[in-house]
Amino acid sequence: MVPRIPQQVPDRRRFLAKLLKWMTTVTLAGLAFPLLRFTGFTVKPQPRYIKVNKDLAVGGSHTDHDFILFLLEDGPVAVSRRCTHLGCRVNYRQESDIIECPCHQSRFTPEGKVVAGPAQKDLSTYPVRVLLDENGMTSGYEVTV
Amino acid sequence: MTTPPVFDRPTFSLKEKFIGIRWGGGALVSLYISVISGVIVALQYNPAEPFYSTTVIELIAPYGSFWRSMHYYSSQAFLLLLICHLVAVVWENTHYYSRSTWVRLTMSLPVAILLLFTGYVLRDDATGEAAGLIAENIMLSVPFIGEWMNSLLLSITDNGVKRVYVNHIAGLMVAGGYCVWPHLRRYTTRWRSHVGLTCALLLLSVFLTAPIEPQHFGITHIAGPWFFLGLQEALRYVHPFWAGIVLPGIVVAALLKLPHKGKARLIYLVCIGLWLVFYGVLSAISFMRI
Repeated sequence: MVPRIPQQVPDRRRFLAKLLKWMTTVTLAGLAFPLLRFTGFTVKPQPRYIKVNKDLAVGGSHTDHDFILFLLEDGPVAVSRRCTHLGCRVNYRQESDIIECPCHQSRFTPEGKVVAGPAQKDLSTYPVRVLLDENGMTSGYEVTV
Repeated sequence: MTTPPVFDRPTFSLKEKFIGIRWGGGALVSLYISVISGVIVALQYNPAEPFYSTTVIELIAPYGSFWRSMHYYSSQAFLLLLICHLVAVVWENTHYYSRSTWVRLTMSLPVAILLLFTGYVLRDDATGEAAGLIAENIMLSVPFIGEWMNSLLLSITDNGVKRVYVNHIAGLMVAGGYCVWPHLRRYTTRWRSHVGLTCALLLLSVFLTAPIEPQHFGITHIAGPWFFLGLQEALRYVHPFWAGIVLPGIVVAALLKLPHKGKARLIYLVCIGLWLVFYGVLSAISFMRI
């Protein structure tokens, strides 16, 4: 006599295995939300006040880590060194009076206006405060980054 | 009277010669050296002051340049040998892996590229900083999930290289380990089979300094890592999402979907070949700009 093979046991096992698989998937998906919320949290940085302790002549410039400070006819302008294309640090080329990105050669005027792409947007600017000495003469500049 | 038969030296075709080389074992040995030297370099590295600490390792710390070079060249060797291993496996085409096994194994290539890339970013010199910021902008260009991807992998603008460091030493290593673990349990290698490679890496580390490009005002051209050159060139012409995600995604997807046999396999291989030619041309153009 051939023994009867119990069909129900493998079915139940298969069902439980599937259930476990789905529960694991749902649990992992459920953990993704708190993970992404946790990693996406950032504290807004405090503004930094950077002093440039020198008086620039009209047309002069000073390059710092995060900005390039120009003294133009209309006053001082601090232009961000972050290229609006992909974020590389731009440099001022004095001989051609142009700001250029070393990664893809986007070009900007000292005011930060785009002259040549691939960048599409102008460079951002930072507020500049002129520092005066006790005689009312310019002693430097304070840039808020 | 007949002349006795002369012993014929077996001749091997180019394919047999190429497949016969132990690329996988070489890649594994290079990875071992890279991990060991990486742990040693990490003992002096400080992600809060990445460029300063890299410079200290390179110039001041005793034998720092040697360990850094060893980490750099063994990592380069690992990637190159891994690519050769993959080419040999695809060319030989005798291992019929299941699709899930193949996908898991092949994902080790993009993970390895990301490991090398994050290494470039971590030195935070002119090239590393620019490469990191470009990668961050590429991530952010991905619709809907770009910010999440960036906060998981890079987040350089908000966090410096902190997250890049965590992913370089842990996150990507775990991901790579997951990809190749069943494969490594099956195929092992011995150091004594790769004495030449080990000696070559040691000699390179002694005599060649790993690149570092100091930040200085007025720098007019920055070229990314060699495997990033084609992508850097593509970024000139098209949106970062197409150049940075879709373009490399095409070849990865083609590799993952590569059929085992038939005409479909040939079509996929031709597509991968054309992609490689296209990327090679882009890289050459970018290289000529240096």
